[in-house]
Amino acid sequence: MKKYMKRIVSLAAAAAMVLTLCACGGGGGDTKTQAPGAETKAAGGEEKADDKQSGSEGDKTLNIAWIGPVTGSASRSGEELYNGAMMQFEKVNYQIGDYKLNVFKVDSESNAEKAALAYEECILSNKIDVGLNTWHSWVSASCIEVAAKYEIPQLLTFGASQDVIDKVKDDNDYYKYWAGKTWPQPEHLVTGYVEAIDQAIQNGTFSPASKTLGIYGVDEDWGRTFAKAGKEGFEANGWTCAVEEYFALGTTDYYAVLNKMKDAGCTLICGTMSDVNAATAFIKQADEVGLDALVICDGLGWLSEWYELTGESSDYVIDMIPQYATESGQAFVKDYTEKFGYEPGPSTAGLAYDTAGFFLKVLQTTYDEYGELTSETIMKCWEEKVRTGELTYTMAEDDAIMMPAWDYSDPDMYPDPIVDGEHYCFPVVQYFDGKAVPVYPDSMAAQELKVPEK
Amino acid sequence: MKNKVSGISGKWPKALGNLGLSPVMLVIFAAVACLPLFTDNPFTLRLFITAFMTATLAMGFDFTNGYIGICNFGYAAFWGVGAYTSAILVKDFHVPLPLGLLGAVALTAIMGALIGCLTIRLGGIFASCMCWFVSLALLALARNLVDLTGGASGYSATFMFKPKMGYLPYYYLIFAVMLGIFLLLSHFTHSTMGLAFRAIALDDKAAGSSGINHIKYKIINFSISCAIAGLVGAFYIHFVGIMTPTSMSNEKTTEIMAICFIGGRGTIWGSVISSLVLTPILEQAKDLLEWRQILYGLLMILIMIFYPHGMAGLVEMVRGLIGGKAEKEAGASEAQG
Repeated sequence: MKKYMKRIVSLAAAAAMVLTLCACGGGGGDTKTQAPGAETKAAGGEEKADDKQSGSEGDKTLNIAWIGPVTGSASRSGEELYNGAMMQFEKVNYQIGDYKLNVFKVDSESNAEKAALAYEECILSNKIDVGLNTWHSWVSASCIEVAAKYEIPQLLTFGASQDVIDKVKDDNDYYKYWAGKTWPQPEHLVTGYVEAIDQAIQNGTFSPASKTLGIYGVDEDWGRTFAKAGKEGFEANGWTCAVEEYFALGTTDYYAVLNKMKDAGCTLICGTMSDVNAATAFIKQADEVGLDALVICDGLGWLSEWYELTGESSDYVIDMIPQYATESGQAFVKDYTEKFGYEPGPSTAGLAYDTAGFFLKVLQTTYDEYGELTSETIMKCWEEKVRTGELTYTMAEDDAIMMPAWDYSDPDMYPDPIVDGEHYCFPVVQYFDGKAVPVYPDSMAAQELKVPEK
Repeated sequence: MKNKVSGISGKWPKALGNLGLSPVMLVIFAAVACLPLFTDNPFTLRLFITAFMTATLAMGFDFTNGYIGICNFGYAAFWGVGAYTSAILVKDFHVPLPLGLLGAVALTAIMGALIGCLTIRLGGIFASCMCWFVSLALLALARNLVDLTGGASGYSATFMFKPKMGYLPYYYLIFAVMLGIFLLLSHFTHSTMGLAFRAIALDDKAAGSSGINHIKYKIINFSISCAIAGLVGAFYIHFVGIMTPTSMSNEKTTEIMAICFIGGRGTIWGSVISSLVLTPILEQAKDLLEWRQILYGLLMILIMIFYPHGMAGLVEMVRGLIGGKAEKEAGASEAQG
């Protein structure tokens, strides 16, 4: 009887699971956000290539693949990216001209192979015309091949490894469909720090005894890349690097290196750490040894509870993180918080809001110029309008909230956007009492960069 | 008479039985070999490429877990090492691709042999933990040797075939690898080596006192198992195009382990069946998002409790029912005669 009951229970559970799996429907790997009032388009199956009409006769549809981490370790980022983007789609009621916009969510699962599989399935099942977004660089590396294979423009993607950049640059005919990165390479972003310090020197706010630089970083991919970019950026601006040190993950004793920097007369220290204990220990110890230098600690603001650990030692420390520096940005924060119950991260929801806005502007321009929305016309618009600089997305004209201007017209920087104070620029901030005060560029600055009194 | 190891009845040719080629497996292999004749849907081909890779990895994992009783918790790390090795040899040292694959197999086989040596004095969970610790070290190396591996961003590899050739060459290559590994491992497990493995799994000291050199067989087992992981890893990176340290973490090992256990530990062929069945099902269940993982876990728990022999056990049960019924009928007709 016991054995019989065991079998009944297990079969019942198995049947429940099978029914659940069957009930989930086809089109595995993607879930669809449909235009309000539109009929649900059957996912999966063999649809004819020209069968793009749904709903009432005469309605046209544009099928959009949104790639992001819906499940897995980065799912919270994926949720914010998606929510931020869809707030723009809601503003246009999922409509461009007489085209209804169908957005299909492709779960990358933060895995290169699974993302490519899901993306391909989505393209085949849902007759995708255009795509938006990715998050991880390795997902970009695998999905770029799928986009190239099916000639689907995938616009404004976050992640991009150097290999992806090289492919777009070296074989642009084949890989041109991977169009526009949303997060520039570190060496481009460092420009903000260099320009901010240079402006302070020119203003007379910062008068270093000598342009002597100290470089530091966590000894891993991100730390070394950033530190190398910082060193090259400042050296190109007349600074001399006297000390360059890297620390294993988890190191918290920096007295020796900081004294070395002090003895070398470093007036500017630039680097990054990836964990809160390391970053805060570095800042506190720099204060303790009496290091008379401006400290750049990139990414400090990303770390949780950092101010509780540094206290006032972090005053005057310089960082660069996305901010909601404008009224439109603040309005977005309010709307997002009301809608979803938590504040949006600027580097996820905020950036996704801007990129979706630019994406929709590209679609609208395509429709206005060419009269139809297809993979070909969208790609044509990107090549002829966006890459030439004719089409940009700005704070002034388009109500962008994160960047003064999104511009992809520099062939040397492409697929990165132009990065400088007037274009793509995370505001350079200085911390005072734990609060980040934007100091550069001028369009976002609340005050000038300050130097501690000696 | 039924072959106790393969479960195949005496009428089936022994040679095929010793290679694990039961009627069921022959039908399955023939079906998947002919699949491209019935569909040219790229997604379907790619899905089955994934299933073949997972099946091969699960077989390699089962070779250690099911036959010498050591669960290699760090199995995915060897898969990653194989991937990185082949990609680096081909891209940075301009070695021809076949030699890159060979290099990956050789390195992971050597590493497997070293792991085997490390676990000689350890048994059960301690040996499994040792494997896990080794994998953590490999993961850290992959993350921190930035100049060699690309660090956290991953390492991009050249593709095995030109994009215009589609998935068909990959499909048949990995199918051939899966079939070859299946035949090889079935041969080993049906030989005296397989008996030695089983004896070691039960009690390596008793096996030693019976004249079985458990050190030698552990090292052989680990070498072969890790070499399989390295081979699949090498294929993976030249198919997908990138490998990251995150991909070779415990999550991947758990996925392989699940396929192995659901298929049936200590069977080899159970891993093939479970991968071919579960991979498409789980792909179709993606709309369930996180619930998919919960259901997956529930499925594993149910199988471990009620069907510890996995799908292989189910197949055997069905076969036994059919065979038992046939024998009864034969016995009844004999009695009547």
